[in-house]
Amino acid sequence: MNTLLEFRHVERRYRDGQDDVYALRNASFAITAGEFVAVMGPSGSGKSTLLNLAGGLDTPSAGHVLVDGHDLSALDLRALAAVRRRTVGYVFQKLNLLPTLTVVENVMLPLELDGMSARAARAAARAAMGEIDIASLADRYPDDISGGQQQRVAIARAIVGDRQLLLADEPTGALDTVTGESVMELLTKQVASGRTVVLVTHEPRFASFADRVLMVRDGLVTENSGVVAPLRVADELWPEGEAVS
Amino acid sequence: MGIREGILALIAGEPKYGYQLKSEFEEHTGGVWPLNVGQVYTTLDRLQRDECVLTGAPDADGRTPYSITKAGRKELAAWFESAAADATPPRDELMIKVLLAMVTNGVDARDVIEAQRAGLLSVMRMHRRRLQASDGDLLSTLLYDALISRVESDLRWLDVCEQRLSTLPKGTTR
Repeated sequence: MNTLLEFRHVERRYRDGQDDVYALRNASFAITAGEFVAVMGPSGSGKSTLLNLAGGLDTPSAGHVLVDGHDLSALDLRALAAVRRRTVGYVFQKLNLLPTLTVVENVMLPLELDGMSARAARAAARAAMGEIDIASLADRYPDDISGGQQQRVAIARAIVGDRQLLLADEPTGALDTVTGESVMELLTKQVASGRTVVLVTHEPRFASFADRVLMVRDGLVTENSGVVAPLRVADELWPEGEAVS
Repeated sequence: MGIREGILALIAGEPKYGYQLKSEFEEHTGGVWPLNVGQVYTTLDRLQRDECVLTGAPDADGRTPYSITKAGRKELAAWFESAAADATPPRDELMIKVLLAMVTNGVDARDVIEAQRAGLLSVMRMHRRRLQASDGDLLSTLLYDALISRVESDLRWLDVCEQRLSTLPKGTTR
């Protein structure tokens, strides 16, 4: 299986007066094509920074981010934009659907901005909407459909043009539990059809849909293997000379 | 809550045999509460003593059907109407473990919280896999929803513990 997203010793720091604030420290991990990975952690832990770096929306202070084999920091702006448009799709809590465009026009927009003809873009948009089971909403306007349906439109817009890496930042934030879970089922379906999903969430319920979970805490990324690590228990817990194990 | 009310609920619609009650109880509770058939018959005997069930004539295979009485329906209705809130604090292992970690020398409560979180996340994912593997009927879905929601609640409590600890000077837990 090939690696679709890789972080190599990635660091992201900001200057705050005299101090360096680390949003991400020495993060290294690889995500294989066709994996569903959740990124969890408390607010301000660096989850969204990780996602922005993965999508080329932010640049690491040190280290390398590779998407589909391309080292994003080695690309010029034009090439970076091309990778972003053709490989990476975003789904945010705030959907950013344009209210004056119909659903199908919203979905085809990224392809038109990429220079595709309206006719070809419309055909691709309809294909993406078919995958998400929202073909019937094509001519409706975003304000006329439910929150769950709007999120589906946003997912169709993220995968249109057969983009393989889906980056989702709290996509269920504005939805009730059952609707949120149906959006997760939809992301799971995308993974089953070969796409890769990286989901940032603070809700374990939604993270439980993923194949694995990365935990971010104070800028440090660790894998949640589900195995309870042996605790570092100090000597005073055991009487002198008694074996610990 | 006992098996008692469960049995009354199962025979509220039609009379049933003892073994049939064991199977249906387990099926409707998603297998999370296995019963042995002895427990079922002991409970049926008590229900009969309390005039909540009646026995019918055994069938050709010698199986005795049990049906619900008016008193049984009254007890069942009272059970559904009563709040399930538990007034006694539960002796929950997770809770006790974290509380004791706060006062045990040589144990860092933050490490204990982190380890418990990892374990609970894995349990939640196991429930999710089982839900996905189930045939998607409403009872299984609701059962796994309940299990997932309980783990979610434990995880939320761990978050709160951690937030409260984070307000204390590093290395202290009180």
